[in-house]
Amino acid sequence: MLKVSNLTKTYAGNEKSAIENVSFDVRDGEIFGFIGPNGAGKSTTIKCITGILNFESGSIEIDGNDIRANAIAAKRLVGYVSDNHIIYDKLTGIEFVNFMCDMFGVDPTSRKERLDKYLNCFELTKAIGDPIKSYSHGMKQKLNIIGALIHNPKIWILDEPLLGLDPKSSYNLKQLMREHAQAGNSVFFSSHMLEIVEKVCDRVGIIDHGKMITCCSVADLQNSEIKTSLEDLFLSITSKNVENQVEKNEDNNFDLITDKNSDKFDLGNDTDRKGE
Amino acid sequence: MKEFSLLFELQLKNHFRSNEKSKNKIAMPIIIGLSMLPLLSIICYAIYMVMYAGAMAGIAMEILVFILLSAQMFTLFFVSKVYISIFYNADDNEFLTTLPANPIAMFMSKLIVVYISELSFSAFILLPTLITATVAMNMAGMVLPVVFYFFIPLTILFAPIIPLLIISIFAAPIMYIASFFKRRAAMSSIMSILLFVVLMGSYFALIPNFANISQLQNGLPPQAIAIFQKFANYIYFDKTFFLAALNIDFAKNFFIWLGIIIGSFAFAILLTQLLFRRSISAQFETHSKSKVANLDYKSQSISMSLVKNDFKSLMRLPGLAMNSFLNIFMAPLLLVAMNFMSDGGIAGMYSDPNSAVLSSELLVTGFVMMYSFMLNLGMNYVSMLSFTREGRSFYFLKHLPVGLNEILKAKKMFADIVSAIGIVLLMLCALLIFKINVLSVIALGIVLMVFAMGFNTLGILRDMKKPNLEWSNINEALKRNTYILMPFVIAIGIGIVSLVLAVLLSSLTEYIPEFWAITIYWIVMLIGGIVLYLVFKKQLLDKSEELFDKMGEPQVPQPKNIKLPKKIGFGL
Repeated sequence: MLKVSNLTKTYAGNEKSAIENVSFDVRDGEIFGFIGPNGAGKSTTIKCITGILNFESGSIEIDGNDIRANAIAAKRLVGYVSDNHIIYDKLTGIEFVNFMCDMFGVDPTSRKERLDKYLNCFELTKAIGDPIKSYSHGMKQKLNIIGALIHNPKIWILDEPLLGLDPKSSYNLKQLMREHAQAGNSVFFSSHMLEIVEKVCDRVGIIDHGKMITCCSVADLQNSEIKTSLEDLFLSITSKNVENQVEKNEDNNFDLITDKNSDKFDLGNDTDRKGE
Repeated sequence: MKEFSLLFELQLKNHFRSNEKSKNKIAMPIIIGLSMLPLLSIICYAIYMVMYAGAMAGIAMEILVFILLSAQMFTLFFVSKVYISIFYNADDNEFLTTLPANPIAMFMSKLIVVYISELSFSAFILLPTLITATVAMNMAGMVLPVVFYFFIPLTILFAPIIPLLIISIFAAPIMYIASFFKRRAAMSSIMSILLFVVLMGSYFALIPNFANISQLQNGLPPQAIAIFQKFANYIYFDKTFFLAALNIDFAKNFFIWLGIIIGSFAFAILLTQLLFRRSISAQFETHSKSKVANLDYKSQSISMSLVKNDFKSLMRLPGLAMNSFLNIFMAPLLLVAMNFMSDGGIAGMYSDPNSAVLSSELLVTGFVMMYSFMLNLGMNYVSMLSFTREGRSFYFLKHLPVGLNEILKAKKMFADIVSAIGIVLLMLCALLIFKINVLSVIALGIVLMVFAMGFNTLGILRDMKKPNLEWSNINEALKRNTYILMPFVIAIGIGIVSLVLAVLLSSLTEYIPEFWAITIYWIVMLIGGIVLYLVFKKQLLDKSEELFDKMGEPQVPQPKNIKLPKKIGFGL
């Protein structure tokens, strides 16, 4: 569904790349967790995938559509929930959702059906006619999510989507993510909440210092002899200086396989739960 | 086309829909318009004289070109600020780039919003000046074709297009400069203020070359005629427009002008196709190299620390900084320009040069005071946006373990410092250009400072009553807050009173010595200033605690009936 190959992005005026040779793929029917410390390159990667940022080398394909060569077709397949809130605060909630429906060509029947579903799901029915300006942080986030998902995109790209959501909405969103993946679509999910990532995602990618450190299946973490948590893995990887590439983590008592050429760490087999 | 109409509707609603529910709010354009009336009437008078002489000399078209060009130059300056804020510093760019929409649709929707924003500005300048020019042409005996009258609204409609197209074509370098300064916000603020001062100064400096009004009764000098003709030849697109308006080879000139507009438009769209998305994308590249921080462990008093923090935050918001510090330069610039516009100094413009009855020093002082009130004391955005400029960071300020008195002291100190800098410049103008007596200049400084303290207190109080803390960009912070403009209105009133008092007292110099007239003037003004300051200070002391507690409380609107979409269409 989403294929990122050798993605490199250097910001103007910087010698060092923000991300360098980042490669991974998100498969059909999968929830992919994307984690990394602050400043690791998560947002840069997401902004490149969504077409916000240009990049100097590598490629991004969304369901076979190159984000640069065929931007509009690629964007039609994406539902992006950014970590920024909607800034059209003079509009009402319903106006914003209608705008998104019109932009993505959602027909009236599907529009009503999906809107009913999401409004109930996020308990936003009463406030949908109010100006966005009057919304709380969490309500804006809910509207942001509804706007991104209303056109039923094939791939959801969610950047910290649970921030500000109440427990019920948070639970419902996780259910929606699961349903979406089970329907053969994909979810790309970036978060700092490692417990949730571990619980919800099929595979995780860890990025640090602009490089993809590892890409592994969550099931492997739980099933392998190591039996480590995602949190332990994350902390052990990111607490090490990538330049030093320390190969052995004695505290956690497991080996990290280091590929010095590609700067990638790998943990066992890179297979997902469905055993692809 | 569908994408364009959706995006345009979105932009239109978000930029022009009012959030204010109060029916009693004073419209900002009306207030600004009224305050500019004295200046506009002087400009119209100058235009009448120039056009009358020009029509007699057979260069009416050239002068019309000059009027339109002047309006376009002003629009160009103001458009560039709005253009950059809507195109390159806009918060919605990131969201828009994720949409499956053609960049041209995005570009056009924003371009038209800029056009609409600027239409009112160009209309404000052009409507009175074109009407004045038309009257002058008729008075000079010119027979204007009927088509010319149809061209007056057309001129207003099309005036902002050329500046817009020029900016669109130069969008890429502007974008680069904008992205350069985005990482250097404080430098951007300084550059913006300097640019404005240079532009205004240059414009005012040019005026005397074209408006030596008293000599125009004998006709335009040949050098002036040559300058106007040269201008018209260079500004070909405006020349063809007015040639068509005056029914001179109508078809040919109209179609040449139309061709230039369409050609520029096509070129702007072509460039947009190539550059717009890339330019927008470059704006997100704000990561800069980390510098080794210059750690400073010096401790300061609470109020000084608050002032310092306030100043640094303001300087990093160039748009807001420019608006906040403009009042320092506006009054001196305008006064200097007006002084040069007349042969006999500023007072000579308004008094009978053959009469020695009126005290010219008091008259000059009156004018300096009036414009100081209008453009300096009444327009101190540092006080009028004391809390609004904090935006959402106000909540941080509110939870600091600092007493309200310390906060108010810091806010007022900052506003007073800004006023004081402007007053020092005004004192220098009074001393060096208007040759006002040193003692009067000192009195001017003291009186203005006392009034400034009063107005700044009022500005803080008004802002506390209705702060706009939920803004996401500078335009919103400035546009939505008309409630704070009360100090501006009061300043206009007191400014006019100070002039009237000066005129009255100067007329009494026949009966009392001039020294006493001037002394009475300063004593009355000083008492007025002290009373004003004490009244507003008391109001602030009485109400500040209650207002501060209420500030930042959400105003939740009443729930509305929910309307679910029944048909495709963005609007409800």
